[in-house]
Amino acid sequence: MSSDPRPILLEALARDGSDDLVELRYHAKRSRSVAVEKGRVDQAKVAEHSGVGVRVLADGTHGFATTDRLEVTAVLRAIQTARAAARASAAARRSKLPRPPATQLADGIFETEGYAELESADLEGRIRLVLDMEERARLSSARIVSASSAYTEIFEEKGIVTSDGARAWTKVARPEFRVGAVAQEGAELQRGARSVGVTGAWDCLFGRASSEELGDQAAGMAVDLLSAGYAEGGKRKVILSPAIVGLLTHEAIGHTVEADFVEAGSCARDRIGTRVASELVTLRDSGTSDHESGAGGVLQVDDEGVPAGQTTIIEDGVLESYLHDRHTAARFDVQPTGNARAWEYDDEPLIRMRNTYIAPGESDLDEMIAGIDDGLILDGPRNGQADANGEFMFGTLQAWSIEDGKRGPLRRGVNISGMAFEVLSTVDAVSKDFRWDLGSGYCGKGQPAKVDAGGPWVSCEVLVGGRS
Amino acid sequence: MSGAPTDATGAAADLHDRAEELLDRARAAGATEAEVYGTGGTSLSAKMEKGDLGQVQADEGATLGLRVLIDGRLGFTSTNQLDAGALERAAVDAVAIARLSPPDDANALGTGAAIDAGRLLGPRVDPLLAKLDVAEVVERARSLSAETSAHDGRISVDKATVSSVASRTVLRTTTGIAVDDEDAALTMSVMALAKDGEDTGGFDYGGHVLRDLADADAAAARLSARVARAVVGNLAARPGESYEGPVAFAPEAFTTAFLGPLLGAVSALAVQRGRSALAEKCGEDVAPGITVLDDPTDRASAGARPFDREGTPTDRLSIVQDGVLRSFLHNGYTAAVAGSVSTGHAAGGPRGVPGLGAHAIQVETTAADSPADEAALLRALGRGLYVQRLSGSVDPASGDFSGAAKSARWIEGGEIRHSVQEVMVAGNAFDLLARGITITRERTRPTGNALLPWALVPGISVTGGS
Repeated sequence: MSSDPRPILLEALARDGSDDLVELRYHAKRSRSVAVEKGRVDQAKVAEHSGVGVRVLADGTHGFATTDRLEVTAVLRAIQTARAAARASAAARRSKLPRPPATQLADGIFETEGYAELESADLEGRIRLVLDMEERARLSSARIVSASSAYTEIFEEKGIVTSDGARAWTKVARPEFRVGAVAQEGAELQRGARSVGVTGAWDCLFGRASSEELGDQAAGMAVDLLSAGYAEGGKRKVILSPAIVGLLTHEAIGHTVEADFVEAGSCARDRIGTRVASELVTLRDSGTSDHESGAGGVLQVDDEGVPAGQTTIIEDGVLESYLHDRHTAARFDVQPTGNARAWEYDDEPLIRMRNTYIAPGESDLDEMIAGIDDGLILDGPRNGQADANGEFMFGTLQAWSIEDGKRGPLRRGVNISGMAFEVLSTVDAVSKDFRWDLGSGYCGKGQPAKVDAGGPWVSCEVLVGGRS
Repeated sequence: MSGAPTDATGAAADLHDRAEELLDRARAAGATEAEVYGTGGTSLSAKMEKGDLGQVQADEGATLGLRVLIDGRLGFTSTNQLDAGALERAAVDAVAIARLSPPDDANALGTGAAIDAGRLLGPRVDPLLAKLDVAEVVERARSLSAETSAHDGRISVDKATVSSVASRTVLRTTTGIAVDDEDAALTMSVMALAKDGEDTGGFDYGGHVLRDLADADAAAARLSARVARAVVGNLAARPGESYEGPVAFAPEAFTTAFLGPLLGAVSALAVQRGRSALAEKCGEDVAPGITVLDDPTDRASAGARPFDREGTPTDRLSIVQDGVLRSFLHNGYTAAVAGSVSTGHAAGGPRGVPGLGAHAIQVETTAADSPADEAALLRALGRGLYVQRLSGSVDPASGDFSGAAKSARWIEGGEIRHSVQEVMVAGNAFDLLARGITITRERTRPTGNALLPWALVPGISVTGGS
């Protein structure tokens, strides 16, 4: 990709020479994708989207402008545009935004593992993989009527230079693989899917399961769901898989502790230092891949130039921290947590999660199942959403009954809901296992963000949407 | 460019020249057929956060997408870098990808049927909209936020955003298509909640897109009133009760639970790939009393467009007529597979291969005794749940949906009694549509695009937390 973008940004900054806080972010995103369904190639592409996002704090107001040219004159023009936008609208801002306090900002080159290896690989192998895995899933059963497979790898390179000291050049590569299958019996159609996504290289992507195993699992899921019944609805005792725990931590808790949502009045507001969960729950959001390698949302430096460390949100059931950018951190009188992220160069940085998880506990999964007379095991993340009042919803692809302490028959996926802190307060067992399992997922908050989430197996009580 | 109006002639000014250059480079690199689709323009947006101005953003840029075919083999690249070096890389990469891809006889480009020049949006771009400057966009955002808050002192507006966008679209193919169009629109959105002491109600939000600035004030007033009513109504929520029976759906929830699966199932791609529950239902009654049509000729819809992503002219299409499934949606690829012609439903932007989707859906009742409006529909419900948004998941293949009812209300005696939370609804869209649902004669455009009714649906599984 390009050479070090920082000299150009620094020269533009020097030529501007103002006292305003100027934040420059060169962001080059290049992706390679292949998608196949039912033996036909739907997508085989290389996409490039790069440019410089410029944010200027002038007259107590943020102005943001962009240029698609990494050239000193173009960046300088964008700085002037952003400043002019801020000044032209400053009269409409009642409470002037103060310059955030000095903080440790990143200076150096930050490259995640796998970047060079993935970048040097050719596309032919990727196309072959996707074609083969789709065919394998499609031919695995006479009841599979359609299968699909897709591979995407995203290379991101950023130069983050600010007038108060950030000088970072970062490189991140994130590959993802998906396989899906549709099974049919009469008029009944059921879908199975498996996906993985990591920050790292090929070995990391298929470290836990090979592409063949993922294809077989997706096809098997679709076929098995044809004969599965519906789960009974109502308040149910459930054991959540690491993937579903990931959804829970992301949707139910993570969003409510994003400081911009807290300021808007989320249910986490004014709860720092109070008990919000069972004492078995310790919940973190981290820029690193804690407990297991390969988390999909690894971030070394955020888009304000703040090193992205580990934030303990809940410790032993007590709410300890929100997630911050530099400005909310200043208002809450805490240090920024490195959560400012922008999807592309022409997106403004927002407070976003990275890798969010519940820390492993001490229980054994089999013993957890044995301790439940009537319940469900939930696995296979689908979508999810959360509300300001803490009410969350997310879907699972599969459910298994627990009957008299034993794992029972497969049920169709369910949607579950609850009030975030109430559900966390019902947690009565946390297993000692740990898995990142949301790495092919994206968070949506006006703009996408690559995140991961996971944890151990967790036993709790939720509202299950059922059907007769 | 702060202070300057939005103007599609910025970075997109020479977009057609760059498109033709990329097409030439693709030919030179070895493509036997090539298509370049490009969009570009400028935008100004202002965001109010918690009642104060957040950020003002000025953007300018353009992106070209190149699809090449070599003996039916597909390759695609996109770039927002329009210099000669970047265009050459895009052309060479696309051709290289195509040479690695397996052939597919159905891969073909559009052939360029004549597009009615009278339907181009460009000549009718509102000059006032195109002249909006930063101060005006900021003032509209401030006004939208203030207007929403003013409905009730308990309302907290998390975000109110107004954006003015001017854009240009170009399409060039080696098969002879050469079409350009321009557009300009004002988009607005509000996200809010209400707090009353310790009681935090659920979020609600809304958005709107319009092409005539003269409509903006009225649209903002409607949007703020709707969001304010929803978030204040979300206070003092009680857990819902479980039952199986009728549920009322507002247009947004109706879209999630019913219209989405229906439109997914009438995609010819879903039919051909074995994931449509309606694959064998053409000519059959799939939704008694309901007509669903796509009308991209309706300029009142944000989805209006004279040609699709492949340059095929768009036209009004009856998908379901008085309950009977009449047509699947085709792009060029699915039409080639089926041996038919495209219905003009190639969708998407320059950053991907053309997809398939509807443009400007309208749903209307053909039942003689349908309720007039929302109030009449709730009277017909009598007692039960009213879901205004559905936060859930829908399996497009089976039609199964399940999710949490948001901004939900409990109805007694045909009137709203209180807000409901912790309640989930589930059902199967295709089964329920086929059994018959009731929709209102009154319709609304909740996002400025689709024209949608309220619906009363029997046989829903409702699971409450009480």
